[in-house]
Order: sequence, then C-alpha cells, then structure tokens
Amino acid sequence: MSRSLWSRPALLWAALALAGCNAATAPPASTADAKTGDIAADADIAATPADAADAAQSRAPDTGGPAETAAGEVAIADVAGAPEVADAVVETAASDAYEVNLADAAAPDIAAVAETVAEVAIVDASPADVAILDVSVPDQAPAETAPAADAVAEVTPVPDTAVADIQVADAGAADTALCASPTCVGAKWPQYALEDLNTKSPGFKKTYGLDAFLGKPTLVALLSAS
Amino acid sequence: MKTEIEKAGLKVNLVVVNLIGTQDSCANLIEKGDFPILQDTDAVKAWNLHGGGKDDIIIYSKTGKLTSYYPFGGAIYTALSDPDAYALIKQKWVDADKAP
Repeated sequence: MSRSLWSRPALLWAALALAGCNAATAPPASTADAKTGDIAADADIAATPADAADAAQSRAPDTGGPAETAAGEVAIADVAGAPEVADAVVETAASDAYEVNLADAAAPDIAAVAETVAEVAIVDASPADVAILDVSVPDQAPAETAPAADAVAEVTPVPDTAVADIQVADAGAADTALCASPTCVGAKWPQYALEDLNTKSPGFKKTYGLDAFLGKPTLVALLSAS
Repeated sequence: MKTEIEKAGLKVNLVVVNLIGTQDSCANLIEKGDFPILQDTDAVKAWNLHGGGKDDIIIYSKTGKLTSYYPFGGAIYTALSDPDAYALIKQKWVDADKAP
C-alpha cells in the first residue's frame, strides 16, 4: 500500500476540521468506534490506535508494514489537535492492521486481495467498508480449513458405523435381519395363486393368492381335509 | 374364533390352505365356515412356500408380514381345543393388527 493512500484521508479530515466543519462533517465518533470494534471482533485485530500500532509493528518485514505505520503516525502528527482527524486515523490504522493479519495468515494471492480490500476501506472511509472487511475475513480461511477437511475425512468411517447400527435396529430383531426363512417374524407371505374351493366363500371357484387379504390381520392354517 | 374377534370390532381374515390331493374331502371344512379354502397343488406347493406342515398356524400382519408362526407339535401347544392355546392364538391374531 502506498504512503499517499495512508495520508490522503487524514489530510482530508484535517482540512475539513480546519475549515470549521468539526461537528457537522466529521465522521460520528460512534460510527468510527463501531467500525473499529467490529473489525477487532471479527479479525482479532487492534481496536485502538495503540493496539493497531502494536499489531502493525508485529508484521513481517516483507509486508512493508513498519514504514507504512510510521507514515500513519506521521499523518497524526501532521494534523495534531483535531480529534476528528484522530478518529479517521484510527480507522486507517485498524484497517492496516487487518491487512497485516490477512497477509500473515494467507497465501500471497490472498495477501494481494487483502491489500486491495484495505485500500478500498481507506479510500471510501464509509460504514460499508466494515461489511467488506467482515466478508473478507472468511476469505482467508481456506488455508486454515484444509486440515480441518482432512480431519473430517478421517472421521468418515465413524458415521458409516453408526448407519450400519441403525440399519440393524430398523430391521427389528437381529434374527429377523439374518433369517431368510418364510417362518421368520417379519417375513413377507409367499406369493402364489390357488383356487378357492369353499362354496360359501365369496371367492369360490376363483384363483387368487394371499395378497387378496391385505389390510387385515390374516391367520393361515395349513390343514388337511381328509 | 374369527367370529369372536370380529364381534369385538376387529376385522380379520382366516384362510385355509388345503393339503394337495385332499380336495375331494373338503366338505367337512366347508361346513365349518365361509372362510376361503385355497387348494394347494403340485405345481404350487404352497405348504412348502410357507415352510410349514400339517396343522401349522401362521399369522400375518395387515401388510402381509409374519408376526407369529406355530408349527404343530412345536414348543407352543396350539390345539384349539385347549382353552389356553385357543386364548393364545386369538390374542396373537388380535395383536397382529398393530404389527407393521
């Protein structure tokens, strides 16, 4: 991120403050506080200028952080005495600290995206930036969630075992699941069609099977008329 | 027994599968009721399909799944002339109405 991007909003607010627009044009303190608070909660970054400075100092040299942080501090010094400007600088510093976290945790491609997001936050300096930053936090997750996915894959056999247990339970008694005989409890009645010889029966002379008796409990007696 | 159960409000089916080759003698069965008498044949061998033998009693649920099987001469006495056996079979027949 360039030094000019750092200093632009600070100088802008400073100019507005010096022009007498203190209360009317300065960003509401509550908005600025809420923004930095949300960012801190979501990305575990500094919520105060001091914390932001500490976080910025902790970043790796390849991110070029310390120099930029110094620029931010210079901006504060340049506009010293204007509380509104200080608020604006807090936003900038927090966003920068957020960028540092992304760069530390993610691959170079993600770091590039993070820098872009951070730049947008600085340039726009609006509440919508918080939403952008909130959304970008999960974006750095893939590198960290990959091991978690592996862990899930390793656990996969456990649900399979549970399913097997459920299948046995659903089938009823264990002997039912293992019993293929037509005399086992739960066995479906055999399929056949025979002639009804009872002259009193509604089905006399008709040929049909047991499926004709579906819907009522049925007692089948194997008898010999002789 | 069927009449007793149905008087109690439960509709049930009674089916007799008659032994192969005994169809000429089924008059004695007919006089006992209007239940279907399905005549088994050599082509079907329904007794074998049931896995049973003479005087076996098999009870199925409303969906056609076996709930009780009482082979003649098995561990449970099933001669319906015995009050206890009669009561047992009747109760199992009624219970089959609640079976899946």
